[in-house]
Amino acid sequence: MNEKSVLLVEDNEADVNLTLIAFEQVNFSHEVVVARDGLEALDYLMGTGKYLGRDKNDTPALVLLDLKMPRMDGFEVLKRIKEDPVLANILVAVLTSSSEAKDRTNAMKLGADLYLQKAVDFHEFLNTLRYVETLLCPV
Amino acid sequence: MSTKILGADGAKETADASAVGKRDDSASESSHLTCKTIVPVVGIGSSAGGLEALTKLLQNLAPDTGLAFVIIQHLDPTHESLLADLLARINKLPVQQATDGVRPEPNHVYVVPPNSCMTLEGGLLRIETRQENSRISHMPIDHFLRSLAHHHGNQAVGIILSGTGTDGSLGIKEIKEKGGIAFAQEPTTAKFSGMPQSAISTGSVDFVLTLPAIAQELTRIARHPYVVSPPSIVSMEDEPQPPHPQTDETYYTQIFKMLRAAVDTDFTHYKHSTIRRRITRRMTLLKMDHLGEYVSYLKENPNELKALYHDLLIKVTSFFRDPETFEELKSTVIPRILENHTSEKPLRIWVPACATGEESYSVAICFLEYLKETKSAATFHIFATDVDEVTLQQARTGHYLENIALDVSPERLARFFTRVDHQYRINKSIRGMCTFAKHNLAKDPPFSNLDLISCRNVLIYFDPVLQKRIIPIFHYALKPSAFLTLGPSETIGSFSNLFALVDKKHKIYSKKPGVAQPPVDFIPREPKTIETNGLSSGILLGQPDWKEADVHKKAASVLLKFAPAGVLINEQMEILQFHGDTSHYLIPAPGKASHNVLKMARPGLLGEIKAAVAQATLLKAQVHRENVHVRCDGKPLRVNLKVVPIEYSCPNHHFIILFEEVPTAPSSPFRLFSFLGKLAGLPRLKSQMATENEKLKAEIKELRQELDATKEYLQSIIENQDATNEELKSVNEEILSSNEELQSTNEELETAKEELQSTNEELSTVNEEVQNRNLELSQLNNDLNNLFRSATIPIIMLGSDLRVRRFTPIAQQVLNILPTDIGLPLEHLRLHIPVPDLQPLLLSCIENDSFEEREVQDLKGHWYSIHIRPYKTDEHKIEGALIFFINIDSIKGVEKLTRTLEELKQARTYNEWVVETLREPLLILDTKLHVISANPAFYEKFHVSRDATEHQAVYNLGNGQWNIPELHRLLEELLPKNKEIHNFEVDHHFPVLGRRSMLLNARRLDHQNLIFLAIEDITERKAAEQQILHFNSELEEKVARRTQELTVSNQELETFCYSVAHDLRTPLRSIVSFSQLLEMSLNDGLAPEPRSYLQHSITSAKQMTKLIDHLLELSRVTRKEIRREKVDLSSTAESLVTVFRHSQPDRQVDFRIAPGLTTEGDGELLRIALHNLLENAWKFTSKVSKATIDFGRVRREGNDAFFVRDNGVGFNMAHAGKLFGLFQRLHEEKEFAGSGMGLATVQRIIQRHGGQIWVDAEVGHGATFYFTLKKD
Repeated sequence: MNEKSVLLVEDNEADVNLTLIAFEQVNFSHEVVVARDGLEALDYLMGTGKYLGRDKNDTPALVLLDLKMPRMDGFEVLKRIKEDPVLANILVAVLTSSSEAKDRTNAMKLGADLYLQKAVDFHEFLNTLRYVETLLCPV
Repeated sequence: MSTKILGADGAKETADASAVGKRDDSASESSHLTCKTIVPVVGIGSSAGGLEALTKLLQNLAPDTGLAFVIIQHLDPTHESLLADLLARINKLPVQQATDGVRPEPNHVYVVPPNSCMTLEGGLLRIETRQENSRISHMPIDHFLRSLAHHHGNQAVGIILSGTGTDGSLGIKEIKEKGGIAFAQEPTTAKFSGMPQSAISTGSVDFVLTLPAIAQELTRIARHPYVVSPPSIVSMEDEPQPPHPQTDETYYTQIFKMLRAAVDTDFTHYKHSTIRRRITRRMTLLKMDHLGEYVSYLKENPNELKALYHDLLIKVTSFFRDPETFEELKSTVIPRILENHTSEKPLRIWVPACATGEESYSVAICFLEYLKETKSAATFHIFATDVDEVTLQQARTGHYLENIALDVSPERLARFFTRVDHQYRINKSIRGMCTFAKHNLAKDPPFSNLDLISCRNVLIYFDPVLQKRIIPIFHYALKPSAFLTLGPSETIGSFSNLFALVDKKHKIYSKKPGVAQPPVDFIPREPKTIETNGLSSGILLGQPDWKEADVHKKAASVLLKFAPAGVLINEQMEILQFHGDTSHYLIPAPGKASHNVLKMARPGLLGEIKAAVAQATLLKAQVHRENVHVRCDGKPLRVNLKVVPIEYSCPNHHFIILFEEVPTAPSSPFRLFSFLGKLAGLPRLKSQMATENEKLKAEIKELRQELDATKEYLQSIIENQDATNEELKSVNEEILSSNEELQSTNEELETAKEELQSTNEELSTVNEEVQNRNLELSQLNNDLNNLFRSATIPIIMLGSDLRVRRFTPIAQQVLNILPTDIGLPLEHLRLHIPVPDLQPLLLSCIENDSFEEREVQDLKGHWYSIHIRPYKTDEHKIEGALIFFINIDSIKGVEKLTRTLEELKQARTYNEWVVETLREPLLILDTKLHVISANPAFYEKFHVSRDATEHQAVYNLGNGQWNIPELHRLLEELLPKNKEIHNFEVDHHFPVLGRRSMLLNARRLDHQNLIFLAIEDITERKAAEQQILHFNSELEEKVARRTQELTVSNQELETFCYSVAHDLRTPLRSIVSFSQLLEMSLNDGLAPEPRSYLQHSITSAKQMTKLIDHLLELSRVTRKEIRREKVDLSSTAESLVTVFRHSQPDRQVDFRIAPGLTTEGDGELLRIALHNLLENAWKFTSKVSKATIDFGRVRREGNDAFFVRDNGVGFNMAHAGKLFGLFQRLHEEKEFAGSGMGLATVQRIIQRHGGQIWVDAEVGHGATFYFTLKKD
C-alpha cells in the first residue's frame, strides 16, 4: 500500500461506489479518501472543518475531482488548489461525465492536469483507472 | 591724263579694246560710286505673241536665279495693262508694274507700264511718259536694252521674244558689244518671228533657243562668275590690275600670239582687263571655267579664234553719239576749219576705228548740213578706217536698221537716208564722200595733211604705251592748226606741247603750230611668218591648212628651175627672200632699212617691176620684160625681167621676180640698129660735131630707150585702167540689171503692200470690235470688281479643279485667305471657318448642279451659313463653284433670344402654376417687406383676402398677427446676411388658428429685389412625430424585454443541455456499469435467458447515452459560432481514418484520400461532418469483401465539390429525400447501428457554411456524398 492517498471528490453515491469498486478491481495501490463535495475536499486538503488538525502538508498523490457538485463545484476547488502554494503541486484529474468541450477547456485553463470522462461502459472505466494507476506509480 | 572711274553702279565699261575704237559715253555719266552689289538684269523684249512667250518663259524659270527681269512689251498706250497680273499667276516670282525710281531686286519681275519709256539709270528704273514725239517709230525695247547695256555691261542679259518689226535688235547689239549676253527666241517657235529674226541677223545674238531652253540657260548663266561678278572698274590708265596667276599670264600670252599670227593684230597693248573680260565671256558661252581649257579649244578651233577676234573688237557705235559734241563740231570746229581753208582742194578728215561707219557718216552729215547752211562751195573727203574688214564691209554698204530712228532726227532721216524695207540706207551723196579702208592705228602709217581727226572712245581701249604712241601720230597727220576730237573720257595726256585744248567739255584739241615734230616712229612690222613654234606658225583665218613655209619651199623649187637671180615678194612688194646675186638689180636704199623691192630697185628697174607685177596680178600669169635698161653703179645694163606669180589661194599674192642680164654683144636690140642706120644715112657734118653727135646720139638713144620703157609702162597702166573700167562697166551693168530686178520686186512689194493695207483695214475693223468688246468687258469687270469689293459677305470663287479663282476682300480677313492663294487648290488653304466635308460638298454641287447649305461655327464661335452654288457659264456649263459665308450670328442670336423668351414664358407659367398649386402658403415680399403677392394657399390657410394682403406690410397682415419677434429677426437680421434661410421654426399663437408651429423658408432674390417667404404649418406634423416617437420607444422596450426573455430561455436551454449531458448520463452510466458488474459477478451462475435480458438493458442504456451525445452534438453544431480558417481536409480525413482502422483493425478497407484538399471553414465542424461521412462509408462497406472509400474533389458548376464515395450497400435513390432528416434511417438497426442523426448533423454543418450537400447512390453499388463549401 502506497503511503500517499488519493482524494476522490464525488457527490453521487452510485458513482462513488462504482469508482471504489473499479479501483478495487484494478488493484489500486493507494488509499482512496472520499469527499462528498467541494468544501469537504478543501477541508481535507487544508486541514480545516471536519479535518481540522490534519497536516496540510500531507498532500494526496492525486485528486480525482468531479465538476458538478453541490455547495462548491469542481472548478472552484480546482481553482483554490492551484492558487494555494502548498497544494498547487498536487496532481489534479478532473473526472466527469461531461463531454462538453467548454468544460474541458475551462478545466485546463484552471490548471487541471488530466481530464477524464466517466465512461458509460464499466470496462472502459476500468481502463481509465488503470491508466491513472500507471501515472501514479513511478517506474 | 586724269583717271576716270566708271561707276560700279552699272556703268560698265566693257572695255574691249580694239583698233575699231568705239565711242562710249557712259564714263562721263556715272562717276559716282556706290557699294551696292549689282543685280544682273535681264531685259526681255516682246511684242505680238509676247504674252504666250513670256508665260512660257516664266513657267520654266527657276524662282531663285538671282536675276532681275524687266519686261518690255509693246502695249496699247491708251489702256491699263493687265500684263503684270497675268504674269503674276504663272509662278512664284513676284511680278509688278515698274514704277519710276525702283531698284530692280533679284528674283523680281518688272513690267513696263503702258505708254511709257523705260530706262535704267544709276541702277534704278526710270520711267518717262511716252510723248507723241519726233521718233518715227517707238522703239521701247531698244531704248531700254541700250540703257541696260550701258549700265550693266557684262551683267546685262537681253532676250528678244516673239514680235513683228525690228525693235530690240539695236539693243541686243549693244548688249553684246558691252559684254552682256544676248538671247533670241528660236524664230520657228515664235508666233511672230520678225523681232527675233532681226535680232539674230545683227550677228550679236549668243543663243538662239526655244523658250524652255532660254529659261534653263538663264539659270545656268546666273550662276556663272562672269555674270555674277560685279563689273570691273575701268580707267584710262594706271588701272590697278588684279594679280593674275602666272599660268593665266602664260595663257593670255599664248592667245595673243595666236591672234597675231592669225589676224595680224597685236592685242598686247590693249587694256588687259577688257581683253580678259571678253575672253571670260567667250568661256561663259562655251561653258568653260578654266583658261587652259579655252586655250586648247582655240588651238583646235580656228573659227573660235575668229569669233574671239570679233568679240575683242568693240563695235559700240551709233549715229550722233553725244549729240552735244556734234553740235559743238558744227558750231565751232567746222567754221574754224573752213576759215583756214583757202584752197580748192577738198577738206581731209580722218575717222579712225570707224567700225560700222555710223560715226563717219555722222561727221559727214554735220559737214554737209553746215556747208548747205553757209552755202559754202567747199568739199570734203572722209577717210574712215578700221582693222576689221567685216565691219568695214558693213560700213561700205551703208545699210542700217530702222531702229536708228532713235538717234537720227526725222529731218536727217528724210534728207540723208532712203528707207528700204525695215532698213535705212545712207544716201549715195554721202556715201561718195567717205572712203573706207583697212588700217591698223597701232602700226600702220597715218594719213596726212588732215583738217580733222575724230577719234572718239578709241584710246580708252589701249594701254598707256599704245596711247603715247598714237597721239604723236595724230599730230603728225594733221595740218597746222587742224583739229582733233577725242572721247569724253580721253585726253592727250602729257602731250600738251603738241595739242592745245579748244573745248574741254567736248574734248576738242587743235594742233599747236611750230612745234618741232618728233620723229614719227612707225612700228616696224613684226615678223609674223618666221616664227617656228607651232602655236603661231602662220595660221590664217579660213585657211587653216595654208602654211607660209610651203610658199618658201615652192618658191625655192621654182627659183632652182630658173636658176637666175631673183627675189620672192609679197603683194606689198616686200622682199621675203633673195635668191642668187641680185646686187646688179637691187641695192639697199639709203635711209631707213627697207625690203621693199621698189625702194631697192636700181634706177630703170622701178617702173618695169611695178608694171610687170601689176600685169602679173591682173593676168595671173608670167610676165616678161626684155632689154630693160638698168643703171648699175653708173654702167648701163640690159636685163630681162620675169615676174612669176605663185599660185596659192592665199589672200595675199606672192611673186617671184627673176633678173637675167642680157649680154652686151652686138646682138643689140633691133630698134637700136635701125635707128643708128638712119643716122648713118644723113650727110656728114663736122667730124667734131660728129663725135659730139655720136655722144649725144648715144645719149639720146639711151634716153629714147628709157622713154620707150616709160611709154610702155604707161601703156600698161592705161591698159590696166581700161581693164578696170571695163570691169566697172560690166559691174555697172550688173547693177543696172539688178536694179531692174529690184524695181520689179518693188512693184510686187507695192501690190503686197496694198493687199496688206486692205488686210490692215479689215484688222482695224476687227480691232475696233475687239476694243468695243474690251470696253464692255472692262465695264463688266468693273461691275464685278465693285460688286466683289463692296460685298460684305465672304465669297470664294473656285474653278472646276477647285482652285481659288477669286474672292471678295472681306474673305481675306474672315477666312484668312491671301491674294497669293489665288490659283491654289482650296483644300491646301486653312480657312478660319472650317467646313467639314467641304471637298465632297463642292464636288457634289459641281456634279449635280445642286445648291448646298451648311451651318458651321468658326473658331471664334461665330455662326456662318455656308451656301455653295455651282458656277455657271452663259452656256450653262458648270465650271466651278461659289462659296458664300453668311454670318448668321444675329439670326442665331434672335433665335436664341426667342427661344429664351419662350422658355422664360414657359418657366414663368410653370412657376406661377407651381406657386398657385403649391399647398404651402407663399408670400412674395419686396425689400421693404411689403407683400407683392401671396398664393391661394396663403389666403386659405390664414383666412385672409387678397385685397387685405397685397401691398400691406408683412407685420400688419391680419391685424398684426404676423408681428412676431422671430419673424422680425428672420427678415431683418438673418436674411440680409444670408441669401436663403432654411427651416426657421416659429411657434406662435394666432388669434384665429390658435397655437401653431411654422417652418419658414426665405430666399432673397437680389437682382429682382424680391423675397420669397414660404410658410409651412408643421403643427400637425409635429404632433404626429411626437406620437411616432412614443410608439417607437414602446416598441423598443418590448423588443428589449423579449430579447431578455429569449436570452434567459436560451441560457435555460444551455443549462438544460448541460444538465442533460450531465444529469442524464450519470444514471445511465450507473445502469450500464452496475448491470455489467452484476453480469460479471453472476458470471457463470447466470442462465442464458436472464443474461440476455441484462445484455439488452446494457445495450439500450448505452444506446441512449449515444443518442444523448448525438443530440448534444447537433445542438452544439447548430449553436456554435462559425470561425473561418484554412482547413486541410486531406489530413483531417487521414487522422479520422487512423481512428477507424484502430477501432476495427481486422477490416481491410482501401482508403484513397486525394492529397492537398484544402478549403476555408470552421475546422472543428468540418471535422465532425467529415467524421460522419467517413464513418457512414466505413459502416456501409462492412459487408463488402473489398471495400474502397474515396475522398476527393471535383469541379461542379464553377465550384469545388468534395466527395466521399464508397462501394458499400448503397440505397434506393427514391428515398434520398429523407436521407438528411432527423432520426431517418434507411437500414435496419440490426444491420447497421446508428442514431439517424449523423447526416442531419452533416447537412447542418454544410448549410451553416453556405454550401450544399447531395448524394448519388444505387442499391448494391455504394453511395457518393458530394458537398460544397461557400468560400469566404
